[in-house]
Amino acid sequence: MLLRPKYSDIKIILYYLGKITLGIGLLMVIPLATSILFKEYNAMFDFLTGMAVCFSFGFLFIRIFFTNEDLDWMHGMIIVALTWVAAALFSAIPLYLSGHFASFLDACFDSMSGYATTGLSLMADIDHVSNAHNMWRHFIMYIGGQGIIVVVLTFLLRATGAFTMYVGEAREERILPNVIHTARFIWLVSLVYLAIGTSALFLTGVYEGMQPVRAFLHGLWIFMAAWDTGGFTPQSQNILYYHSAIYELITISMMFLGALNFKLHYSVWTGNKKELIKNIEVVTLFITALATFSLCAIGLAKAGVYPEAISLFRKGFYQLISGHVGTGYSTVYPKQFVFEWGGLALVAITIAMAIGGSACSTAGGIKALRIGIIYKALRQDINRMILNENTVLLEKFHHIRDIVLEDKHVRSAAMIMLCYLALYFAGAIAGMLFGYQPLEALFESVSAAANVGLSCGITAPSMPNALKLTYMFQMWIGRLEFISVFTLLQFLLSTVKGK
Amino acid sequence: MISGIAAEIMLTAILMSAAFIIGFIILKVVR
Repeated sequence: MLLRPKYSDIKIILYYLGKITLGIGLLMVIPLATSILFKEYNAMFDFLTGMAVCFSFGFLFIRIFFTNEDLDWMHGMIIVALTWVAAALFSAIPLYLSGHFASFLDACFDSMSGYATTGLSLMADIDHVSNAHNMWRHFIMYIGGQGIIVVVLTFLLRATGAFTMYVGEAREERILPNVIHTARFIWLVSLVYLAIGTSALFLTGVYEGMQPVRAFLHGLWIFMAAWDTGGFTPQSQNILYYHSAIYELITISMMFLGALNFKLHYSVWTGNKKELIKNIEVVTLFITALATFSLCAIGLAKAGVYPEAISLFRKGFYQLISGHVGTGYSTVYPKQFVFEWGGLALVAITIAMAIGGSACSTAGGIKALRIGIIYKALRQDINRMILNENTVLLEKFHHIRDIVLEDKHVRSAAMIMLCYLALYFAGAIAGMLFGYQPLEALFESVSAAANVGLSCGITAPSMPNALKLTYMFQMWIGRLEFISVFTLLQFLLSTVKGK
Repeated sequence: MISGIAAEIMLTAILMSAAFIIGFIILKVVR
């Protein structure tokens, strides 16, 4: 039986939503400062408008729905689900005002793609976007990868009930005993790599002949989107624009490291380096990456696209790993996937995208941890068939510590995997309903739902609005790993059908 | 922390080397 929510439930949800809206307005200070620094006054007014709207709604919600009540699990989950919708809507305002979007829906598509760290874009004439707007596009990707709630938890909100929202944002692993300390550790890792990655890309940019300021900005933006496995770039040609093998090696490293579990980073940084070769997620990622790359390489070799080993590696492995970890950076044109790469390579990348990176990382997809757990469970069941039925079988997996495989692990992993598979196929069917080829529709759908951002050419401003909304929904629900969105849907249902 | 970062970067280097070798072998075999 569904219980109709009380006014106090709605009040607490909207109160916290107001706080987060205020936080989104505050985040616009970064692109605003960029616009002032580079004397981009048109862009400056776009961000002032965006801030004004965020502050107005934020203060209004806080004032009207003020409450001292603490959050429970349901509230936390619903706030998270609504936060991502509100963030996409409010963050789209300055993007839309830039004039680079055909409609407000297209701007919302890009901001949702940014927060969900997908990287699919409907922006027109990307090569001539202002520095401030580019800063905003990449910054929202950085925030989305960290988790909006993690950002707000670290800087704005009090800790009471915060763990519920932290879980809702698909970050159920507490690295340190206190959730605020966990959030701060995630920021520490990201900021250390921000310094390393930006410096490396800046030096490479200067070496390749870019102006120092431009090299720094591109280095910063590319790092933010690579680390957070996002995929936005300041150039329409994506990473191909740089024509630099060093740039490609650095971005591969950064996106792969971004797809590792923050708990693993903590373990390795505190001296437990053996974890890198023992952890179930790293082992699974290695096996799936090399297996899917082998499939991709066979496809490419058969198609004869890259006759040299170095070019096969540079093109094939780059797109494969970019898809696998959910970044979406590419060094080929979208239509090359369809017209040159052939079906086998496309299938290999689709499988890699569907699997995704690590849990509690910035990556999307089913996640290596779940794949590893399901494999272990399957192995246990097969062994049970072979051995004497009275034999007690104990299967373990190593994730920071040895964990005995239990039915609850398998149930949870299998359930989320099924949800992802259903989401991938539902998006593909939607694409096919609009007349796209099955394999291309599946590729684009997996790319959106697993928060990757590789495109075989379907995503374009001219695509049907219904498909834009489908992909936006896929990005949202895929990033939040279903549970919080399902809680929101149940809550909405209970307002209508509850007693 | 620094040795941890070095170990993580080493991990990506190993992955890339393994992929290159696999790509090289596949190209030879398929040809």
